Amino acid sequence: MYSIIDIHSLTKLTLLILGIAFLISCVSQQTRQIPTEADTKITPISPIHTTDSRITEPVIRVKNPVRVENPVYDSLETDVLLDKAETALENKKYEEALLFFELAAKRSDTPLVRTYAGLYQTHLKLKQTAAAEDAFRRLLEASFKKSDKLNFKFLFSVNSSEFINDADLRNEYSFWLRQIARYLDEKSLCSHIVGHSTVTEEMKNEELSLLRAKKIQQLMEMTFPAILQKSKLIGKGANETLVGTNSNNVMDTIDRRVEIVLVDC
Amino acid sequence: MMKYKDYYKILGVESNARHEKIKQAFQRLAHKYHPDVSHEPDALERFKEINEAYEVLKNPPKRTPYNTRSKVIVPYTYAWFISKKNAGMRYHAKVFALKNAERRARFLGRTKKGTGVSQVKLQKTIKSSNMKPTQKFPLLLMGVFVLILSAVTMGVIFAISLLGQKQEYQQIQTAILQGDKSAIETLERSDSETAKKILEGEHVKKAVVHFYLTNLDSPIFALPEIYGDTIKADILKDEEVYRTLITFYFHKVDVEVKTGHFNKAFVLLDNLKETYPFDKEVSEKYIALQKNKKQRLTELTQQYMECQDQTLAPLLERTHCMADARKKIEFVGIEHSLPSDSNLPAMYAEETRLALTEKNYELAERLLLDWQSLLPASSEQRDNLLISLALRKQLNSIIADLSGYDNDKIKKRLSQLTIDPTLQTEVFSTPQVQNNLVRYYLDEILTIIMAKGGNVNIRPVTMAGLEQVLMVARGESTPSQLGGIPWSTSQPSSTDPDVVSKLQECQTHFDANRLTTGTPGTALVCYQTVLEKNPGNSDALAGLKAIEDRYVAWAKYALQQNQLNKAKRFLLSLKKVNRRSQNLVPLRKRLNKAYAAQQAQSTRISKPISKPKPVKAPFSSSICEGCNCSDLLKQMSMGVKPLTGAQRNFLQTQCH
Repeated sequence: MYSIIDIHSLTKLTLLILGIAFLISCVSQQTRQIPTEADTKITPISPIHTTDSRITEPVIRVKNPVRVENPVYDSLETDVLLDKAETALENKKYEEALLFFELAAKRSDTPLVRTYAGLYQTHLKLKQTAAAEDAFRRLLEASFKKSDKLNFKFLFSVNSSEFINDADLRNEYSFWLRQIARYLDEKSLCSHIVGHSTVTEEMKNEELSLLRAKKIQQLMEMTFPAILQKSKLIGKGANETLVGTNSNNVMDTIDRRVEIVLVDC
Repeated sequence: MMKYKDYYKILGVESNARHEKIKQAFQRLAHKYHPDVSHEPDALERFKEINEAYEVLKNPPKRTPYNTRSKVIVPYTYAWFISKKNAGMRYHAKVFALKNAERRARFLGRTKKGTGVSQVKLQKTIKSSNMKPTQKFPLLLMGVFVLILSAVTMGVIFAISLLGQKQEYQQIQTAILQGDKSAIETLERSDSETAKKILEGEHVKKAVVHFYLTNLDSPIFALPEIYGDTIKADILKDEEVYRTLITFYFHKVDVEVKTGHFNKAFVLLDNLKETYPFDKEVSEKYIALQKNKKQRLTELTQQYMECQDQTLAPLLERTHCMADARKKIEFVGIEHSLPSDSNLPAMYAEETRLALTEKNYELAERLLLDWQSLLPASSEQRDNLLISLALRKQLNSIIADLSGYDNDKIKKRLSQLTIDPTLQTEVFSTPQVQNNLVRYYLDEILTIIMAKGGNVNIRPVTMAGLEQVLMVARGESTPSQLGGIPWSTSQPSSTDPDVVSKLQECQTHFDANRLTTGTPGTALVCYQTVLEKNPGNSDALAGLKAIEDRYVAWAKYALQQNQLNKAKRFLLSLKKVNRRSQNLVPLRKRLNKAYAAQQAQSTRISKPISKPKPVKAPFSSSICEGCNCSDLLKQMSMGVKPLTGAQRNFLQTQCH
């Protein structure tokens, strides 16, 4: 036989235990969360706060190694900084590359095109799209400031007005073209879109180079409809090859290109 | 309002019972309470109830509204449990009330049969109550309790095991702090979580690093292989570890600097720099070390120049001084080529030749080694002297071979001796060699004569020579009357004193093995000069032939020794002397064959361990590391930075 009072007490006890267990699990879950920088910050009133740099610096150094101010960098030539940045970029040390590029960008003697090209690529690798767009815009400005001819060249496949067969590059071309079109639109600039080809391509060289230029215009038209009026298509054929081997392989890819040149409206 | 009847209860079935069960219950009860059969007083009434209940429950269109209206609770649902609980509570309240009433009645002195609550009523109440608590409810509660109990038990066990684990970690930590190797090995074998927990102990990271510093050569590099990058970073970011490493490496760097091994110091500092790339202290140390290195280099270069300027000192003393300074400079790190005395090779050659003549082979070897260490660039003159030294060391075996009956060995030794005329003269002066060689050459002559069936037209000059040989053999003439080296005839080929002195100079060059290279002149150029002055001079022509023969012999020797590069060099020199030499083609063929064999052998050796290489341009990946086609095309397309040679190479070979 059992007593109802006992069962009641037992139920209450059980519920109490379950409640406590639930609370403990909640608390432990809470404590297991990764603390943010703010959480772990040792404030001056903290008993473990220290001002000794020998203790605090290494921790910062490892946590965020490239953000430490280092007077050694200030003494470096801009070219050396850029070399360091480009090496870091090649070695896929993007944070480090970004630091050096940013340092270089602050210098008055920095080669703008090289610096912003590096910054653009680094931001892109770090998936910082907004920053990459900003760097690209600056790169465009720097490029047009340096010369009327934009340093970007759009590369094409042999005998075709299709971009070179590289998915990553094609994606990036769309981005470039959008940005260039936007820039031309904002600044109300006029341009010549100049197509090139190699000699031994099957189609007639001028015709093919014009088709390539047309392709670029069409792609920019989506962002900048007025480009149809504000640009002129030129097919140079094989008259201005840069490599000139006419081997129609990857080595003379640069001869199958389209360039954008600013002109007065 | 119609009184509510619980048809399920009337039929004695559960509210979720199926039709078959309801039908069975109906048949059983109908049979039991049929008025014709039953003797129960209320049989007719029950029979009617049973029929009424069955009428409703057998018919789904009637049963569903009935269920809805009567709020039938499906067993074992939440509502069912609540209703059972309420029923239980009501039941017990009722029993409690009855018992209270009974107690009250008893207290008031009433009898059970009077106004008090009778036991019968009480029992009836209990019996008639349809609100009895289910028997399963406490069982369920018990089950829940058991579950909780087991959870608590498990929790306790888990807590105990955690405690045990903690104690175990503490033991390992204590052992690590004491520098116990097995504890370190346990740590190395642990998974990353465990390793992290062990390393959390006070001073443990420092003790681990201290252990590696004292037991391994490059602890910083060894750490990631053992622990992985996360643990490595965890260890290295520790302040104590940082301080330990800095102290240890800086001390080591200082020691290396003190002994002049700047290269090693830089390697050590590079290790540290790789670990703490942006550390101020390391950078400062690096800059200081570079400054120190430059100072030391200046001092040592000065020392080297002073040694070189001691032109009056004995050669080895001077060169040792230079070599020592050079060695020290190498330890510091050579940044540019050191100046050298252009007379040194000639001086070495002269000294070596002298040592060889004096049969001081130890000195000759020391000189040659010294020459090689001080002037590591390849030198034909030095190579020839090395061959001469090797031959001279084999003097006894050469004499033994030339005194034996193995004609192949004799042929080989004779060919080798053409390299060193002094040695040749020395060997040929041995009586047993002379006798054996006379026999050997006679055998050769006889073989030729017999091959022609004895019908050989020997020229009178040759006949006279043979007669002279016989005269010498009989003791009627002296060997000097036969002439020495083939082209050194007793009668001079020219009477012009200039030509004669020039020929003597050529002979000196030839004897000194300055055949096509060397200072102050070469035998080749010298004989060619003689021929310009006196075209067709037989001595000069014979001299050129002798140079050619010597190169042929050297090339053959080098091929025998499998020194293919040397053989190639000799053949090039041979071509320089006589590009139409008959020996050139067969020797070149032999050389190519030897190269092919060497290559095949190296391929065979490297095959099992070599990794599969890309079909195209196996070298390009090593040249342009980290390159990929997409990035290179992008670089080309951006037009900011031109492609490097390696990148172009990669693009050409790897991208389509």
